[in-house]
Amino acid sequence: MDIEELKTTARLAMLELHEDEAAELAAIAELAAIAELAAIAELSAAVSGMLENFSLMQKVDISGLEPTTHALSEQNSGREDVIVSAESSGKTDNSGKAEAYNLNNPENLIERAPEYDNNHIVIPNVL
Amino acid sequence: MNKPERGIQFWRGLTAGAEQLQQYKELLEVYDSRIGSFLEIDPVKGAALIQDRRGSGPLAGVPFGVKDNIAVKNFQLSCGSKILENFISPYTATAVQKLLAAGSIPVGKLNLDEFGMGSSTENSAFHPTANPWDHAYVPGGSSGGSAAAVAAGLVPFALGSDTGGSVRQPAAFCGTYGLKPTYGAVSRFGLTAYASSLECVGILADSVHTTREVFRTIMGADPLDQTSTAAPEGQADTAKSSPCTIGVLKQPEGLDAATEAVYLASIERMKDLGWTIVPIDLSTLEYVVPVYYTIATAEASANLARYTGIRYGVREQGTANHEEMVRLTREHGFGNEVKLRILLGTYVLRSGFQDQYYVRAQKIRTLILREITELFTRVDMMLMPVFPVSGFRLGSKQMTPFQQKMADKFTATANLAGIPSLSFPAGKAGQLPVGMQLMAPVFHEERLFNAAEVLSGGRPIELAPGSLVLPDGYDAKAVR
Repeated sequence: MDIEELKTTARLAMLELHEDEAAELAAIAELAAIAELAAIAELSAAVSGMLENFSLMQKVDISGLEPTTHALSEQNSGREDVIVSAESSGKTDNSGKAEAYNLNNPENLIERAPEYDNNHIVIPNVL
Repeated sequence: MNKPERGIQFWRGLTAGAEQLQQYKELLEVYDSRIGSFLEIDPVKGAALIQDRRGSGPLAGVPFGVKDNIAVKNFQLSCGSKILENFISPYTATAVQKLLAAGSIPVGKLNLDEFGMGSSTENSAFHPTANPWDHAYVPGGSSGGSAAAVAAGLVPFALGSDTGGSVRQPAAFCGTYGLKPTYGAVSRFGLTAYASSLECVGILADSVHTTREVFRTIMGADPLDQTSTAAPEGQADTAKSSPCTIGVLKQPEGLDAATEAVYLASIERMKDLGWTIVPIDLSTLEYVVPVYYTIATAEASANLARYTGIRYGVREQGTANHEEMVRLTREHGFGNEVKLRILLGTYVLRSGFQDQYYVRAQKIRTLILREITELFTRVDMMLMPVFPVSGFRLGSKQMTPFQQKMADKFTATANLAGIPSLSFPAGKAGQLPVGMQLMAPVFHEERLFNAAEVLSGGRPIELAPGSLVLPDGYDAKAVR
């Protein structure tokens, strides 16, 4: 994969790939002997290696085949649109309390945020 | 006096009361310091999660370990990643909850390759795990901690997860049983998502008997996992007992000499038992790895998008804005293998490339499924190698990450087809165990258990040298 493609993909994946790293990478690409030394060049090589392996799939005649998204049932698993308590769905500990799953305890989830204020998660400026 | 009795009484003795649990904790810490299979050890905390450990059920009072990508309330849930280093789970996975209800006691969280991505447990962000049979070798992965803990006699069973072979390959390397159930047979609620259409909660255990008991306990449909399914009525009754018809690969390519010898010896053993051997071609086998990695990385890129440092986990501090925070959190929180798979998955899902990669892979998955389905009209089970080599050294270049991925072809077949597969100890390569696997049609786990029971003569696994023994004077039964 070339550097521009890698940069675009990394940006879409919300992974950091600094401009200077990209420049460095371009320089390294011209000096193949030291390419292995840079972790990012290794990543690029690993991506290319796997994509080459994926290209094996081009050999297969796929005409008329439907895609398999799940190995078993393809039908949706639906339920009635009604509120089900943890107790009645069997989601309880062996004393019959729903507390084991913490399904009725949103505070417990908010507390996992790195920074929060009352019932709000705090993050740096978006704009 | 030192010889451990590994029956249920031995394990119940270790968890009988507060004093025994504390002693068990200390024993685990001492023994585990040699192999590094655990990321967290706390039988006392685990016992506090259950109401009754003195029931009469086959798992009551029996301890177990949990791979650290499966949630147990109040225990850590790191997934072997720095990005979740500080995360304490607020809830318990359904599979674990069912074991708690059976009186079984979780004693700690087990090491793994980060988010289940790897075949050696060396991709753990925290520390490597040694193979208890030879500490210079990897235990396999990604459920390497689970396999090592069982092989070292620290627990009679452990939960793992299997996306492309992550239960069966470490089980084979460490000489334990390893079950990847039918897709959906066990709820995935509480299993940290990696590749949702492929992964299963699996079992690593010290005998066929234990594997079966645990599977029967944790299986079943769960309203919290829409992909979970109950086995069709009466399915367990249709389990074929010995003798059976086994499909074997005509040409098992790429195996090292020791693995090939064990594969051929397993076929001979089955012939001796009067089983019918049917040589088969698996024409789709060569496409398993590219199809598997295309689908697995695509799903991973979507599933791992949730790690942003916003709602939980580690957050990069001192960033100027929201986007920089997310990028730097991910840059510093994920290891190289995880980044590689996210990049690959993002690439194969990009507009313009989807048909070439992701959709094509899903269509070839249909071909693989058809071939497997057709095979099971002719044979009861398939015998396959688990991994082409019998083991490799820790920290070595013996197998590159690329070669390790190519080696997933025998195991990933079962994940793509959704079928159950049981890895069992089948021989040795020098000091190291070698495992083989049996695959059966969907929901025919009982068929696998019956066959493995016959093959093992009902005997439990051989534990690794230096496995856990009780110190002189230890009276585990004092409280009971």
